[in-house]
Amino acid sequence: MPHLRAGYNLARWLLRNDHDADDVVQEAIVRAFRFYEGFSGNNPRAWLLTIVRNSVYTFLQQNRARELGQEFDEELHTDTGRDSETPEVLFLRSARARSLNDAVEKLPVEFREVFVLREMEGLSYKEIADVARIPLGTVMSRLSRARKQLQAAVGRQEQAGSAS
Amino acid sequence: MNCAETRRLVDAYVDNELDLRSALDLEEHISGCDACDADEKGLRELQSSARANLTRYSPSPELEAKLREAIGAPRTEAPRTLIVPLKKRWSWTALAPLAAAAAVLIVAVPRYLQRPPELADSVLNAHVRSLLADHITDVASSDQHTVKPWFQGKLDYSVTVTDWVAEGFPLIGGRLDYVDNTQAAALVYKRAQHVVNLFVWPGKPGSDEAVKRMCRRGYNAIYWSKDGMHYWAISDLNETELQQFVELVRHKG
Repeated sequence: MPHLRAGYNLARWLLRNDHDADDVVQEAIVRAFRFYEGFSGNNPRAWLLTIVRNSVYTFLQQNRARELGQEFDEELHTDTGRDSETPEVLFLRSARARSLNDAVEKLPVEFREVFVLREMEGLSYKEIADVARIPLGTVMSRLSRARKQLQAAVGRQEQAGSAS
Repeated sequence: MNCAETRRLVDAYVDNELDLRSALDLEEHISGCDACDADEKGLRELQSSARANLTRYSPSPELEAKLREAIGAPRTEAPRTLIVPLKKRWSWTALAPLAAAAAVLIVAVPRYLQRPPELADSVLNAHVRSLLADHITDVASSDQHTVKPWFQGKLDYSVTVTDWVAEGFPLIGGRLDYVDNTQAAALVYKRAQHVVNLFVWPGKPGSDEAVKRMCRRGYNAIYWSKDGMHYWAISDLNETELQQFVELVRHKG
């Protein structure tokens, strides 16, 4: 069931913890199949991702509203958490993979969403626009800004690693 | 195209979302501009790094069981309708990780082209069944010289097997299936996270039919006949990329 797994992966990336992802995905899927009796529309994958995505946003609005609509703060979002992890530790844990994962987690949720849908699920801009309910131009600009932030964050992380 | 325009469009370019004309203009610009060329390479690096390094989270077995129940899917494997006697048994469970992978299946089936709509359902069901049950390949190999002989012992006709990895459609294996009450062979390919099926079976000797398309339940299908063989390509991939795959099979295979 690749579509369900894609839905779970999206929820986990947007919510950033297993417990909330489990709850939100289960509720989203059970409700969707109870009310709609299965897939509808002509793109079951996008349909499922949309359901999961909408449930995630409802959950965030009710429980973690501060995470929504964050402005892109270049200083804030390029800090890759060096305070909590020493360079030595990071180096031991496949620094590149770790710093990229950390950097994606630190993106504001609306940017993280677009990046995950594009790079992990391989969705087209049009599909991302449909799932995230944003115009195509916004897909493009969010993706572009997300990538610039990630490049800056990973670059800083690697500099920090090589300086030790 | 100048640097400002290139910066605005380069993301769409690396995502294959740019129209051909703009893509050519952009390529011309970056071939003569080191800064923009570096931008483009940087984006591609980030892209491949993201694909290789980002953690892909999966539901726990408990959650997965609950989800399967909610959608009415079988807890373990879909019931197998394949009755064809096979010469050996293989492990389905070892192939489970392929579920997330995109795939192209080539399935060969004798006769039955006379009823395209019913055949479409039959082919589509085989495709969906293979995904739901995580049963995509019987022989998992990217080597065409492994996959082709695997079929030879099981079918009374030969199936052309080509690995299109350089063209972006890596072969991941093959399997036998059962389509429209008929024995079928399948070749499995990847395309990013998408799944595509191409069905091939022998028809009347020498029969050729033009390429036709249909869209059903969110899956695109492209089908045709050539040199006495019928072909069905099916996928949740977009039609443009599925067409690219079909062109490879038709003209380079």
